[in-house]
Amino acid sequence: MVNWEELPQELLELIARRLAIDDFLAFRAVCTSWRSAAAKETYSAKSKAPWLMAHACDQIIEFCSPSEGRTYRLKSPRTQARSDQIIEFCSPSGGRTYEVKSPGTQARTFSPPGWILVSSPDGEYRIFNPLSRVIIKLLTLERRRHKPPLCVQLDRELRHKSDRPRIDRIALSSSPSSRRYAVMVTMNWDSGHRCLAFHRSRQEAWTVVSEPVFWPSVLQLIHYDGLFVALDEQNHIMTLNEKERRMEPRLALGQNVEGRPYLVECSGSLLVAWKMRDEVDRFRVFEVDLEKGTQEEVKSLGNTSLFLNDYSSYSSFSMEFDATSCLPGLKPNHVYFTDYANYRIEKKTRSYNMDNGKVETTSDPRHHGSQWFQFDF
Amino acid sequence: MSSSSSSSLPPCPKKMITLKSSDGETFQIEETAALQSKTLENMIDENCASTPIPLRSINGKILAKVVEFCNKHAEVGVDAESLHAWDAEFVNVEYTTLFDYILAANFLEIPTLLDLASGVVGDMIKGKTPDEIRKMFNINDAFSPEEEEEVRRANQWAFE
Repeated sequence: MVNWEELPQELLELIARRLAIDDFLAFRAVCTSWRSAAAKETYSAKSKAPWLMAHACDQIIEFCSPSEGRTYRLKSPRTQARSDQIIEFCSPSGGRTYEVKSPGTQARTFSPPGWILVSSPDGEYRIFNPLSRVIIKLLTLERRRHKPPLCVQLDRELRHKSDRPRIDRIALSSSPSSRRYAVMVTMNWDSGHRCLAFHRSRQEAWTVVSEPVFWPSVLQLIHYDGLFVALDEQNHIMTLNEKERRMEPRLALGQNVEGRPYLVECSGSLLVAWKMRDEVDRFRVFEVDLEKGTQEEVKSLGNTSLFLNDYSSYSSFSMEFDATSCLPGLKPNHVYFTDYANYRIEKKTRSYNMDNGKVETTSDPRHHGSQWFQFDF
Repeated sequence: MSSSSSSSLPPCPKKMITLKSSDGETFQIEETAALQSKTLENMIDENCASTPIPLRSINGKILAKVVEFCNKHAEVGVDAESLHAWDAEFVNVEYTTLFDYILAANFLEIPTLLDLASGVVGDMIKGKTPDEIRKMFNINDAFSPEEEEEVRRANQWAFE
């Protein structure tokens, strides 16, 4: 008699590796033997189809898997579940809706993938992982350390202002599941003041590292190869020098390129994908060498694809295709984008083929403003 | 004359090896087809394939299918599309047979068959709840009560 419980662990693992996250979780919930074969570590987020995440109603967040039509929703963990704290997930296959509790509103993605930043009306920020349900309250933004001149300047500027800082961009050095991490944010005030600040886990104040007043707005912030990398609106790339508590300029992008740059890590390289300022959707991709301060155009993404999210509040990421990828409808060497700016009436996601420049509609999410999201533990 | 005689020559004799199933059935397979199995390849390399190779964990019914699979995948000039269709038909079988395919492919180290069969199992799991999966695969013992609670909590959101 066939006994599926007793299939050797490595064979069960082989099956589990192919599954999208919801099926992977179901697999883990079948029996003891299947659960131990599908350890969280075997889940390779990098090779899985991303989902679409959206605010379903006003502040309900939905995750949707476009190619398979499954949907999950996030809602508040507080006992009186507020309708403004539900996040909806839509899966790459299927056709189901799930709700996940969110510890706040206005969900945004950031790097590393798998994590979401939410804020609460009292000005507190939390990061949380919808899979592990780990919720981490961020250090209050009022606790800041500055170098003396910065300190004096910022305090003088803000002395008579009652507005509280907001997080504009955020990146983490590693998944907070690993306990030790560094977090970097850009704070901004209604008055227009901005600054970049970071802290390591267990530190009790943010260290401010930039001039608070005249620094141009940071458009993108990611962690790459051990460094926090920021891209400002003048298309300058800089990295954090933690020891000296300052940002170091690395290179200026965009000579001869006009458009919107997106910073993405892809198979260990740092890429800048430009959405060109043309009439048609067109992308150009450059590989950046931070050490040399150089950039070189990339004509093919090989076995990977990029997923670019809305410019303002979401991070972008890449995925690697392999034999076990669950990728109905997704192809390598494409740039997938959800830039809705030009499509205010429509709400489709599109793809740009790096081979021939062809643009196709890839999915038609239920909600306007749906963004790509990659689940990870 | 010379040309006709050369064409009538029997083709170079194919090297065959013999496999013996757990229930004593024997199967002939061309060496080139057998090379898809890393286990058999090693035996051929070590000159252990001159006598029938006993495969004690694979019965005749499954071994016949595995030989058929290797022969098909060793065929020259099969286009990818028709091979894909053939594969799909090959794994369109009872769960129990699929289970045996996976074990046989694992034992004989045939990656193409292992990928194919485990892929089908993955497809069957897609979109199902743990309960449905247990029913489908006839799994009775799930978890201890303590584990049960932990699993329930971990999967709270996914299966509401």
